Amino acid sequence: MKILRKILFYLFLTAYLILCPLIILYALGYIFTPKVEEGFAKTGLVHIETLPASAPISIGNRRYTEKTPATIRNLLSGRYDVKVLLPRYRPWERKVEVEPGKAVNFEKILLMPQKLKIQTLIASTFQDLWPVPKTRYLVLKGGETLGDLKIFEWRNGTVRSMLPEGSPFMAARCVRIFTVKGSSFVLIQAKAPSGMKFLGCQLDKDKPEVEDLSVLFEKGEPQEVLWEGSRPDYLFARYGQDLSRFDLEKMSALPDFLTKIRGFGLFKGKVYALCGSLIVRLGSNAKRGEEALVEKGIFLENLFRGDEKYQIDFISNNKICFLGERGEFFSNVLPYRFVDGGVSGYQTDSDSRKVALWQKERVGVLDFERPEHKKEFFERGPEIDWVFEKGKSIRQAYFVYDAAYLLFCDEDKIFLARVGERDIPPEKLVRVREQSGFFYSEKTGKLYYLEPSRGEFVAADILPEGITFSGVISELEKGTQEVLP
Amino acid sequence: MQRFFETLPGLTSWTLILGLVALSVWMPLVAAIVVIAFMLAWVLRLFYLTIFLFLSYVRLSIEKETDWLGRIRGMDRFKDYLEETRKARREKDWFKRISHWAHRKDMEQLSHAGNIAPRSSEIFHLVVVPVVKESPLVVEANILSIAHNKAFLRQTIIVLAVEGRAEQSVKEGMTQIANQYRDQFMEFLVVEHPDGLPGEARVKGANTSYAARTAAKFFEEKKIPFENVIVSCFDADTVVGPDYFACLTYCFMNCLDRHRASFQPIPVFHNNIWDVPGFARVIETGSSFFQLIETTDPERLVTFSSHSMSFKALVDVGYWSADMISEDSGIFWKSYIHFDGQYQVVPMPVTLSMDIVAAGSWWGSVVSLYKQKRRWAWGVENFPLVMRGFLANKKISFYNKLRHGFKLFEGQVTWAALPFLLTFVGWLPAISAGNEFSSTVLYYNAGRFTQAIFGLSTIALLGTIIMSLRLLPEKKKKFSFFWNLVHGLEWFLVPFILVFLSAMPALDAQTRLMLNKRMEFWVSDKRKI
Repeated sequence: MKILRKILFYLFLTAYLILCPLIILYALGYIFTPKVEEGFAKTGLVHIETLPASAPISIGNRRYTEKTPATIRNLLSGRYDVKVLLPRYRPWERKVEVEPGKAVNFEKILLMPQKLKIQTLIASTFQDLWPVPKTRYLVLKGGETLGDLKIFEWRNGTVRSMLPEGSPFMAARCVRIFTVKGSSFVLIQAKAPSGMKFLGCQLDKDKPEVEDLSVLFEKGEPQEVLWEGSRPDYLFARYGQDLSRFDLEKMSALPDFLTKIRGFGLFKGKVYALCGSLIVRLGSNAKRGEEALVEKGIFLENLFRGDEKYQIDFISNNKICFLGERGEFFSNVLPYRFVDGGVSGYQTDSDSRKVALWQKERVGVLDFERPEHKKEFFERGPEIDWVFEKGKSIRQAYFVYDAAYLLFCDEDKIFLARVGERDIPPEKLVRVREQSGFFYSEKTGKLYYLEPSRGEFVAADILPEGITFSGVISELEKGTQEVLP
Repeated sequence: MQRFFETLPGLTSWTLILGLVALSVWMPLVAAIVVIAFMLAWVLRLFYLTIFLFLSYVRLSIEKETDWLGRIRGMDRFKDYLEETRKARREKDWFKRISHWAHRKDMEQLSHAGNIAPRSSEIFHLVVVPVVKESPLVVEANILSIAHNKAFLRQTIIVLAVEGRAEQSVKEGMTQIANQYRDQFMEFLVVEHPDGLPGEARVKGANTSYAARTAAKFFEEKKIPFENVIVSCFDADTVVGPDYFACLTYCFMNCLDRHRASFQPIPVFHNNIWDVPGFARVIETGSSFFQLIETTDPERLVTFSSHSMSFKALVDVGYWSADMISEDSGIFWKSYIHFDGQYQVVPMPVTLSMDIVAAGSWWGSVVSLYKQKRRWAWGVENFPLVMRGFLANKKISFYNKLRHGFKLFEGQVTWAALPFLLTFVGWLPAISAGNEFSSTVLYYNAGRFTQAIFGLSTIALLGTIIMSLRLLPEKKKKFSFFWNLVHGLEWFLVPFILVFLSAMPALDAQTRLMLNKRMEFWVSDKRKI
């Protein structure tokens, strides 16, 4: 046994001494190859993940047996054409530079079908489509009156009228719809024969519910109205520089709740307002004059120069976005001022870590979680990555596939662009009805829009079926409905 | 010097664990390479150990049917018997043939050395069983199993070493057992160890040494030479087979230098194996496997738990340590240093069975098992003593000092650090990798290698599972197919068990030693159902 032990010990030791360096060298990318003079070379690799998966890969002239997601190893350094060719899908192709010891990573590649699967959801003519942000509702405008407004619930595909049958406001002309992200309560401004009407509407009721709140809006048409939650206790309406508070329970108004404001926002039961170059805060149910100072100083004076008005939006617990009248875009995160003007809108991703913002000619992504690069001489903070800069009239954008892509509308055409690949032109997907809105849901993976010729409400599959949660959600909701009395 | 050696194992374990964590965060590239090198070493070692586990298991199987008593009687008439073995017909069965060959080889060596053993009728067995809180049921099962070794009953002296601080009910129970079984043995003593004797800690070694001294007086009175006595120190829950003492006697008689040797059986924990939670079963089977593997390397084997040795050697070295928790391994090191490196442990191809800790509830068993493992890991206290002993001793060769010292040190560090490194730290470079590392070839390949290595280790694990199922005793009650499947699949708990019930207690013990926080002897919870 002693001799056997010694033999085996030295055998294993030898095996280790031989295998260990070989494995480490291979792990670092070294291979033995007659293609180079030295006989061995340090290689690189390409890693590709696509949706849908199982797509064949070819690099250079060689077709690989591996299908996505795959790591193609042992590539000698050089320039390669990487192609992914899945039948019935548009080919995906990139030129890559493979360096020794380095990996080129293509994650979250979304392959688009050659022919998008489009389903007609409502075969009626609509003029416009407004998403109620961060909710499951879309408002479809069939005509000029309130009776022509429909509510579409994209999770379960149901549609119903905005107003209850027999509502006296059916014939009123829709002027404007105020929405707040995440709230199933909307405020409709309509012009009725009796005058301007303001109607509060609960979208999440089984039967439509509308409440006439016009009595609160004595001051007329506000520039901005905000509230919190789907059953708000208060509405806050800005008239010029004055902020009024409307108590929905008591049906009373408190005009001049705050005065001389340049903008305001709501967050966790508090009203934050920009007064001059001060930021103040008071409780939603506080009395007039109880505001507390949050921040002031030269810094804010420099940041909020002039007297423009701002929309103040708390996108997360510690991130606030400011959108000025002239399209200036600020945040409370360094370097604070991101765009000097021209921003017409923005959209956050599901985690509120990234913001897609658009101007007329360009659309980009601001990533607040961007890691710092150690080689930077100046600490820069996040920067906007402009994804597309050759637009003509960009008017909306959504994040797609975990914020790897942006869907945006430019001149009534919907494009899909990959974030971080500015040099690659975006893919055109569909046309939409002129000047109409569109909506994309990551949960269903569908793009909802109005078909250009007849204005029918349709949905196109952007993400492959089967990987989204919509089917699961429908089943869960059905189950819940069966259980509840 | 003592503090330096006390600190070294714990410091090394922590440095390895935290060092690799820090390396994974700050230099993930280097850490990934270190992880690959480490994992490869581990998987090769695993296969290496599995081979020896298999060989040891085969040896156990070979000797299962051996007629030890027949061999002993043969050795009583050595010359004639040797001639008979030379001329004996070759066995048809391969196992028996190998056993016979090994036996004949040992006899030839004895004959050549001229160190023939005393006759078996002149060999006495002293069995010391320390008791502090064990129930009479547990101890009685032990005594009954010894009583089944019919050939040696009249040459066996049992000493129940009862702690003075034990409860009265325990003392009375031991006295009852002594009264009940006295007639079956040569003598049956109950020795009460007074509490708080100077120079003693509250440890098992103090109790057993006191009992052994009492037994020494008995042997002197009876004029029985110490050279003819084999002392066995059994845990209270030890259960031996009916051929245990025959095997022990054979190993003693067969040993070239029997007064410079301990005799180590293979401890298994089968008494209540089917009555305890699965994780306890897995870990104790793992302990048995470890001992099985150790027996294949007698040159580096150390006594563990229940063991036997020459009583003369025990007296010469001054009995078990009265101030150390790990008296079982401590007696080996004490003897090794005392005899200037001329001391060995002879592996016995026989098992003895003990209880797995069972505290009644699942969580209680977890806690008890943890404490037991921690107590076993407290064997690290030997390291500074051994190293100081080696430094002071000029007669032990440098090679042997290095070999033993390294094995002791490496064994402790591996025990504490390896499971953490395998289970957690191995994956850390990939998880903590920043963009810089995640855009390298190594990032993609490292995970692949780690997976491949774990796949290979699963093969070794499967071999271990099969051997464990064959080694385990018959189940007392019939289990359904589902439960049999569950018992086999329990082995996949190994990664969690290794970390929480093996590595963590070891790290705990090493850290205490490092920080100079002494441990008290903790008596395991063992119950008879």
